[in-house]
Amino acid sequence: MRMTTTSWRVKRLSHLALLTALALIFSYLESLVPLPMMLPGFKLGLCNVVVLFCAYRLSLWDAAILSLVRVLVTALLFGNVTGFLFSLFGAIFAFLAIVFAKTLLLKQLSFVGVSVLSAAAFNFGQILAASLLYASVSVFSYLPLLLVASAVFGGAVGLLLNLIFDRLGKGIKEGVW
Amino acid sequence: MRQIRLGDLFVILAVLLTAGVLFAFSFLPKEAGAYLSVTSDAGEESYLLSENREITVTSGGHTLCIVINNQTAYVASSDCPDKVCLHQGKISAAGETVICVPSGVVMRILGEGSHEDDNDIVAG
Repeated sequence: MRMTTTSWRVKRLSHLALLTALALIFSYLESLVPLPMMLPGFKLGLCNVVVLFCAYRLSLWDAAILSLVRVLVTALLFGNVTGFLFSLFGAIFAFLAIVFAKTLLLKQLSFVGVSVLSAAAFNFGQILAASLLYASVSVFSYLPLLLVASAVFGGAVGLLLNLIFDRLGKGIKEGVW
Repeated sequence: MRQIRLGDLFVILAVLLTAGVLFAFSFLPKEAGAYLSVTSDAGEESYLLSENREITVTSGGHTLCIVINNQTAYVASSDCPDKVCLHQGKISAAGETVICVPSGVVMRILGEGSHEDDNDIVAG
């Protein structure tokens, strides 16, 4: 009995570590490939794939840890303090959106909706952090563009997750993936 | 297993609608600016927007060159590390700001109603 609990915990720990590493790699890749329009704050949000995967396959708690570690390590490795603050606010809001979607809208949304919602929340959090830091509401004029980007990129990430869960659902038991 | 549902479309529509409404707000007429207020280590200074001039501000160990030209103000050059202040562009309407975080310089446009002597009536 004790053996199985321990091995389950080890499994969970290694899964979380693996996913965190994957999220970091995605963050790194995104920092390497600037988008053509290159407006600050525009990102594909590939690490959202990992965070959402974690939230629905492991648990919300694991997703929160993963998000926080990712933001922290990304800032330490390739970011700066301002970027860290923006990402932290963004990640917190995105996480709240995921909690909302998973607990209240589980049956209504596929990953497309969840992903768009969390991307929009992430960007709102970023802008909120910027407006607090710069003590100005004028940064909110930037939000419409970011929201459109959330709908597009978030939608793409959601389609990818729909596919991933579709494939993983076959032959793999819940909780073990 | 997981197909796109009606709820997804609602979420996308809601996000795009919010973007549209916020975008429409940015077209509301703004009060024209009259003064440029520059806050730095040295305190706050106000300049008339109607007078073209160059202002050199040294603050937080960095030097910024601010230009007032044709009723608009912008940062023309800066030796701060991130150059975000340069990319924030030109400001001319009351309430608009340019902030340089590394040097701690805050540029804010004030409307006709406010003046350097009564800073508590900041427009916008």
